[in-house]
Amino acid sequence: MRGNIFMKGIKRLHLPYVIAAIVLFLAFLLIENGYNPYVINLILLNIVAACSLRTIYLSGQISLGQAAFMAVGGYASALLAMRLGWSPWVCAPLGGLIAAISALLAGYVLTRITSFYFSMGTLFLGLGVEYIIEATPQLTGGYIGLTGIPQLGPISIPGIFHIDFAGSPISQFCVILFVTILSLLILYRIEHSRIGLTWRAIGQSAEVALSVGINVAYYRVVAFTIGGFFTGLTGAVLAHYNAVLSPSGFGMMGSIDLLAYVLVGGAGSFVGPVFGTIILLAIPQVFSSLQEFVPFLVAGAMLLVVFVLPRGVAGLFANFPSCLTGKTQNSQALYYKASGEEGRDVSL
Amino acid sequence: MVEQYLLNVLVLSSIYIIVTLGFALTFSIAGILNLAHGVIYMLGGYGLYYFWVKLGLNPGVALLLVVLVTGIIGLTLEKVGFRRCLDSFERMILFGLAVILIVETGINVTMGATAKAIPPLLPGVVHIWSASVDATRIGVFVISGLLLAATTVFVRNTKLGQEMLAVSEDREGALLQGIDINRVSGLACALGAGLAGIAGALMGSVMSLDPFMGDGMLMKAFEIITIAGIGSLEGILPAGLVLGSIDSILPTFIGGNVSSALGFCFVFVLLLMRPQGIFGRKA
Repeated sequence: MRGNIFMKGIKRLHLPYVIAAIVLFLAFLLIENGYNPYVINLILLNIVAACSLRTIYLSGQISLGQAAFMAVGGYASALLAMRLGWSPWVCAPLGGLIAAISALLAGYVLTRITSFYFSMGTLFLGLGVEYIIEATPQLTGGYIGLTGIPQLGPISIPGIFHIDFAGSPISQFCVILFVTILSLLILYRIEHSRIGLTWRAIGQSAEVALSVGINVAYYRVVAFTIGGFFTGLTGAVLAHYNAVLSPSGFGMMGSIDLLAYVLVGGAGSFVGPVFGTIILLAIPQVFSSLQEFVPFLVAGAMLLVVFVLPRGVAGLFANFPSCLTGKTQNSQALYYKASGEEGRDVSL
Repeated sequence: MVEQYLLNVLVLSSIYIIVTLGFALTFSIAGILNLAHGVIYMLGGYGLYYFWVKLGLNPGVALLLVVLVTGIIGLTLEKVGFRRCLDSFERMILFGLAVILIVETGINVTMGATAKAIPPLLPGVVHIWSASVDATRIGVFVISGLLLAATTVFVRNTKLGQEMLAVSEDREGALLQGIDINRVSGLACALGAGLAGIAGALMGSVMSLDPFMGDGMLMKAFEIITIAGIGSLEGILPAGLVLGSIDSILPTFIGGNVSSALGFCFVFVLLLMRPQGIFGRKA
């Protein structure tokens, strides 16, 4: 790190968090003044999904199918609310729970195989969930989807109080902000606990972790499950917020989008996915006048990260000048695991 | 009736096999997980449209041009981007994704998102046994078969092919033997891209073109590679036939969505039980 008092001082202020807080405050002001909060709410929820993807990534697993869990959580919550008539406030966490259980099952079978095949497996999982949703129209509405999902609106305890959060944009924003901040706090605490340290150890080198006696598979499944829970919760809240649900956003591109948020923002720090999500989702908004040319800008941001900022946007805050030299020691270890170096023989 | 099914299976399988072969070559030899493979396939289709329908060139010449152009695109992508990303899986994915976005948006903006039709490559109808099938489909199958045979001969018998095999087996060892791995990797990428391009052109002439046709094909390539096994090139032939059969025959009986879901279940279970695929080598 640079022996520079200015930089050290900035670092101690946790500059990225300060910036994030300022951005949130600005968003609050905007909504209060009548700006349509849809995109902001979308960004907030995707931040949670991206951060949970990063939590899984910490333990060295690259999940290419995370959007599937958003779909599971969303559909579970929506169906519980619509078919059983339960309050959305109950259904959303339940949706997250159901997503977590499916993540547990999937993780249990997938962690048995090496990292590269794990990633392939999650990719197929992502695809498969989309196919399965489309193939069961009686249950899930097929590719047309569900409409009329109840909002996260009224909470009423008869005789005591009654609040309707669906009343105004600002109150909806507050609900989503609350869910986001709570989820991020929990994820942050978990990451900076003993479990989080174990995950980092596994992520740096699974073999060494095994040799020290860490049960690698167990901790990986735990990471996958927790990540699945929060992703599912996101999907559920999104479903209730949108009031409609269709499988199209949850397929391969949805999962890869989430991965892009994490990578562009910087997978090395907790606040990285926050920046990645904001940047990649805000670009289409800010430049909405350019309509169909927007993906060029998004691709440009990705290329910038690939060639200039290998540690993502968050890498800018870590060690200011040296982030540009492209040192990627963490990624090195992950590459060797993820690419299955031995498996590339050719026989013909 | 059966002949119709059989031909559909053969046509679809051969396209799948060509695309997957290109993808596998790029992965095995150059070490690149080329997410942009799908868009190169799509570009091949649109290239045929452009060279043949728009510029009015002879269809055979148009096909050759498609191979050349897509090959050059593959070479460029490897040189400019993927080579820098060899140390980092995440950057490779990001780069591929960026290319997908740029190319798909470019085509979307210039050509429009509605499906385009290309006139059939070979006019008329051929009668085989009791069925009458488009001559184009027969042509596609024949061309694909020839391509497959040519690629096999090339890889086994030519010096460049042997160099490619060497690089895929052991990169440093090949370097020590004096093989220029950069050149070989680049050419392997070009070959892979060229295969994808011509597959796209052939498929485009049988079906129609749209800017997003590459995404589905990329997924099929992943599925076939999973079935066949990561390191195995010869496994792609049977795996492609299996998936081609499933995708051609099943939808008429139980509907497209269910058959896709079933296909996924099959591949997923296979991945769990035997991750190295049916023919792969790594246990």
